[in-house]
Amino acid sequence: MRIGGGARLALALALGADVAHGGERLCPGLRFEGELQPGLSETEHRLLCGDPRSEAWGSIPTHQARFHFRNFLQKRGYLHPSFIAEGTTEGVGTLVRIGTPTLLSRIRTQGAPEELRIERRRKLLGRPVTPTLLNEIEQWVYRRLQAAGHPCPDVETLADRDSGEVLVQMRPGPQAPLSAVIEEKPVPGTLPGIFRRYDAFQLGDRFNGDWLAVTANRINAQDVVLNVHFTPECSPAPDPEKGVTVRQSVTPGPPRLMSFGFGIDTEGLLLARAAWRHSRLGRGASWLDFTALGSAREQLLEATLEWFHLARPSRQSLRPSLLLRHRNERPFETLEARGGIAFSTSADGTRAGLVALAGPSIQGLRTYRGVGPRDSRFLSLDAEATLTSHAFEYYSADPRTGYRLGAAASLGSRALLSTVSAQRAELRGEVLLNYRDFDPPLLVLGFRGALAATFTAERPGAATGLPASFFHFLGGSSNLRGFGRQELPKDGLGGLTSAFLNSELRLGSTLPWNLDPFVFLDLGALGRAPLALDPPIYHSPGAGLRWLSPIGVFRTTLARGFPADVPGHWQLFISFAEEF
Amino acid sequence: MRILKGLLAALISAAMLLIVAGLVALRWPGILFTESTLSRLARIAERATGARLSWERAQVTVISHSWLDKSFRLAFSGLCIRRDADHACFRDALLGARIDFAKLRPRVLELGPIRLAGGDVGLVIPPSETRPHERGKPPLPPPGIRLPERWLIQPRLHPVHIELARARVSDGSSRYQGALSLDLADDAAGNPAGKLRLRARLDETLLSADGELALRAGPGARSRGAWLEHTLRARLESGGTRLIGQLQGGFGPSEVRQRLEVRWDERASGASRWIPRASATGCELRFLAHATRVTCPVRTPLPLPRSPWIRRLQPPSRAGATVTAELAPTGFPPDLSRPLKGHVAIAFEPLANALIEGTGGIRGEFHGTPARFPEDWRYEAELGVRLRVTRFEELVARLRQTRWAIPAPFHALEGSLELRADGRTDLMRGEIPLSLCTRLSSRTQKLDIDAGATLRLGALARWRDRSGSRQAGRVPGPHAPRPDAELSARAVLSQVRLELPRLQLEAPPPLLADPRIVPTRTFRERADQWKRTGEQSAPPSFAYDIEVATPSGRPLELLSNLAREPVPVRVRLRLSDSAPMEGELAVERVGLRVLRRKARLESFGLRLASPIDESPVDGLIRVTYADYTITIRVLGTAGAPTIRLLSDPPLPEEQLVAVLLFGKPIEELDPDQSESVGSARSAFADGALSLASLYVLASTPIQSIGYDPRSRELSVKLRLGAGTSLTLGSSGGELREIGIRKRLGPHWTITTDLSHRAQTPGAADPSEAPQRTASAFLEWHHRY
Repeated sequence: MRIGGGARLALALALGADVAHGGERLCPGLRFEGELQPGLSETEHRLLCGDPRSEAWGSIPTHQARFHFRNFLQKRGYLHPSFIAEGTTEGVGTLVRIGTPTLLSRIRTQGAPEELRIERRRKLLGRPVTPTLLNEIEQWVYRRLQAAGHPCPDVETLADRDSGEVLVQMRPGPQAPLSAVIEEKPVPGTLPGIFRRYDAFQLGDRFNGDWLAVTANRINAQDVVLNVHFTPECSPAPDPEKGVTVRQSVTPGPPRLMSFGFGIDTEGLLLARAAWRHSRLGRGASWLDFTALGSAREQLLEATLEWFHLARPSRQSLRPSLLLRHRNERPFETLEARGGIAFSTSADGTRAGLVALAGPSIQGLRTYRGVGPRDSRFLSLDAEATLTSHAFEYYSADPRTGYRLGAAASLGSRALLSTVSAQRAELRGEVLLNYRDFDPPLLVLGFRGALAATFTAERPGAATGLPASFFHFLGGSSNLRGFGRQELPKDGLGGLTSAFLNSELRLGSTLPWNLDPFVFLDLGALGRAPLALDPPIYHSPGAGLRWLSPIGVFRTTLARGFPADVPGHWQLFISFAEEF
Repeated sequence: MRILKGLLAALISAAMLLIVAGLVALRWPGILFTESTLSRLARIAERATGARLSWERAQVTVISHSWLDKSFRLAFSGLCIRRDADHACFRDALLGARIDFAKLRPRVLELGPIRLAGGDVGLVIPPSETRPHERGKPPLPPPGIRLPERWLIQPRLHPVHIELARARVSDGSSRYQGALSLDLADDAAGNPAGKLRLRARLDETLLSADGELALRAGPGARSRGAWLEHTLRARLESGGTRLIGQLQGGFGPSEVRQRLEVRWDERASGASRWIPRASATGCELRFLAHATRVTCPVRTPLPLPRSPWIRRLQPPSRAGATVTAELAPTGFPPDLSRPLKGHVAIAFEPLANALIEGTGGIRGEFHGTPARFPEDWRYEAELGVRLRVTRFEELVARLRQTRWAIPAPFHALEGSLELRADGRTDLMRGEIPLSLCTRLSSRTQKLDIDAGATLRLGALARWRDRSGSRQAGRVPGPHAPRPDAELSARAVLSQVRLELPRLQLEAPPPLLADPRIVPTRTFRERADQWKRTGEQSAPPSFAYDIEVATPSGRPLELLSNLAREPVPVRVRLRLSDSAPMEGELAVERVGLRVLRRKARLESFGLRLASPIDESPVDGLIRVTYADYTITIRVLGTAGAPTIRLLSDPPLPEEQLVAVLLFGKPIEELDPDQSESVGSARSAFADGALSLASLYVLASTPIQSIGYDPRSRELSVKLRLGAGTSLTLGSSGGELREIGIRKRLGPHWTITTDLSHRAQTPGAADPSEAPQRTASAFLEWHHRY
């Protein structure tokens, strides 16, 4: 025989029994059954049970308490609570069966453009359906739509509390080109439009929210101003032909910046750094930087001026610099003084940005330990270019896709104020591939490599006229992880050519606590002659663990260096803030 | 001569013959009035009127009472009159009358017997149009009725029985069909009396009616003129509605007096489900020369609601009102195509129980054309209806255990509230002016609200639109969708002081459910609705546009455990069903505790935007110390406010934070506290804390603060007591940090130095670039 709730209650009241047994009693007349995670806060408790210190909130009507409890449970994903009236010694009470959290079982989209694939968003299914989760989904979809060229998308979510299905309704709006950037107010003392030198986009290109973020972060990272951010103008709705206007909001802050810091490098050495920078010199917002850096291996004083010399906003600048550095590396100890000036420029396309600089420099070098003459000097023409994809830049805090390619050269001749003739050149590159473009990534395959050579008639050896810093070494967390830092070659003399290729496969967001395991294989070789590699080919297979901690990325690797004719050993690296 | 004589003799003979024939016809009229005579008369009438009269058999009987006093009796079998599509046929017809031809104008001495049985009548009425010549015609003077005295009042009446077994009338848009029987005869007192029974149905199903009309000439009618008394009992049914009425009254030469009793029974659920039955007993309708007057008491039993919570309010079991009306002269019967105007007043019977008092009435003028009702009708009324809850605490007590319990903190209030429908309005437009006045208070709280509102009943407007279109012969067009009801209101928070719940050191808990999480049925409905984007959505059943404001100089006051004194807040809000909430909230000067210090909030403004987290804020707080005053400026948005610190005399910013957080200069802080200074500054600058979290934190004894700029997550360690601490987290950001420089704010950064030297001359140094030594700095920055 089935007894209705009212009958049960009447029976309980008639018997005068307190049927409140089991479950957790919150207060007289209110208890719950089930495992509540996380538990109730004190404020929540007061909103359920009343606050004896308050006249107005001293007692909470039963139905208001139920209303509050339902909301508090919804916040935690418990979407099917049942409220049962029961008799207690205090009168009529409520038993709340909180049930179990409703887990996200399926995500469906409506109105999604072809380029948005919700299935690429991982780590959503199986999580409790909460307002926070819906916010997370909306934000992700919103960002992806903006990245796909829709400046003003409208995203709504709806969750079925019974099945755990979530429907994402999108009204992406038209794809539109970015037609103009409106500066809310100019930075005092500077030319209007100076921030356009940092743009990771071209006006007229299709709008991309990610590239706006890249631009803002370039400006913020340069400390030109305190803060800048961009907002597309969505009212009225952008015209697919005329494009969308973006509003630039700047918090300028004072232009002079002084900093002192302490840190640690990948070799586990303590560092100290002091810097002074004036980030908005003149109307072109040039910057002047003085830096002092000290560690057990290196002490450095450096002054750099980035002078935007043109009378209009421009990406072109002249960059004079002075450097005084003492280095105490394993193969050598040197004191170096260098001065130079370079012409610098940059350009950004739809997908990548190029930074290039070139100019003469003069360098005086005293070697205290290691190969090479005690004193040497070099007058060289230096050039460098780096091509970085915007995606690489956007995800630099959590690398997963994109590329960075670089080339550098330094030309010096004995006939022109140099102790010896030596030309240095380097090609380097890094490519990351995100398997199926998952977010967060499931598998990230990365390749990194470099080919560097010093062209000179000198050869490594005790009698060489080149200072040790002109020679190439391998080993360490950034090239051959099965060997110690600059361990190769074993004779400590270095080579005139070096090449390495790292490949790494990382499993992302699968293990708990933000731990990502990875395996890798590093290959490398050195040559005693320019552009000639000698056997053996060093290789070091290994595995590692990456931990995305609240303060940055920690990586640890364990690898063994080969080949057999070189005394192999296990090499352990623990690094901070270093990514593949 | 002979010819003349012959002619004269012929004339005399003819005259004699005519006289003899006339005398014979007068003496024996049956010789002249035969069936063939009727046939000839019928043909003459057909040529003159177009109506064809036919019968199967006819018998004419003429009885001669004297030379000039004759009785006629015509008996037909299968009598039919046809004209165009109209017809009237009777199985048997008997028409009798006694007529005195003594004077020039024949006088009907006796009428009847008349018997029309087995009648079948079909009439097609063309659409009614007001004929031009009738437009300027004044109405008949009251009482406007002229009974056919010569034919009905003065003659002696023999039994009249007319039976229409089948009657059909069509006017093009509607079709009526029914049956009718009429019996007339003199009563015992010799006055004409009759009874009409009618059973009719409109359009098969729409409306059915049956009724009985009893007519009687008043006493002395024959001597004093026409006075006709009648009793009409009628019963109409349409759908689930049943109307039973009785109209009693009389028609006289100077007055028509009517007494009406009506019972209305609404059995079907619908708009009138709250008033399923009503009755009007003792209604008086008087058609006078100068006016028509109506006095009608209406009573309705109020259904006892099933909901127990409404029963707790002990609602009245019945309601009553008296309707009095005075109409301008209309004549009788009223011409429905002419404008009508008058006064109508409704006085509600007072309503009172232990909880609610209700009194009032409606008085106003109306005008409109009955035939065009309700299209051009106006009812300019003066409303004066009042509903008052005298003891709010009683209402609270009765609702306490119900789902409609008055929630905290309002349930602690005592006093009264009053709802009025006050003011002048056109009720036919469905506009009702309302006002609400609360006078509620408790030991710590007060709630005095004066609100004025207009309630527009869209359903009434839709009905008028539809009726107007139909009467004008138009197909009702696609009108702009109107909600069933619209409320425009302005509420003045005359004096409000409310107590907020005691907040702890955490983000405030959600007080409302997230509307995005719904049950399966709603989920499917909303999903389908989203699919049909582009279609015009149905209007909401209830639309509102409400302004809420505090009067000048009297802000509302909020009592909070986080403030030393009531927080005065000026409010100007606009809430609407069709737009996000907009308006401003401004906190006026008030003493606060900010980071365990006595402080004064000089001003704080929040301009509401959508979403609410994007609402701009602007606040100014001063914390006064012995040697200096610190000014805290809160800018940005409610979702991500930024904090700026200033002081007089000027102090370095880190000193300000140190003093604010820990109450002592930075030189005296321990390392943990020093680090917290930077983290707090970063979090403030990043807008990592919501406004509510800031407010909560401002009142906490902070032990240390840690901040992760990448996740924009703030952890705060709070000192709860000796040796006890609590760590809280606040996450308001997202992982979009780019670059390897972790900016903690304008003064602190964690910098990962990978490319620091990569873009300087000489970067191709092989001992540098390939090695890519990574380093991380925790740096202190100072801008100036």
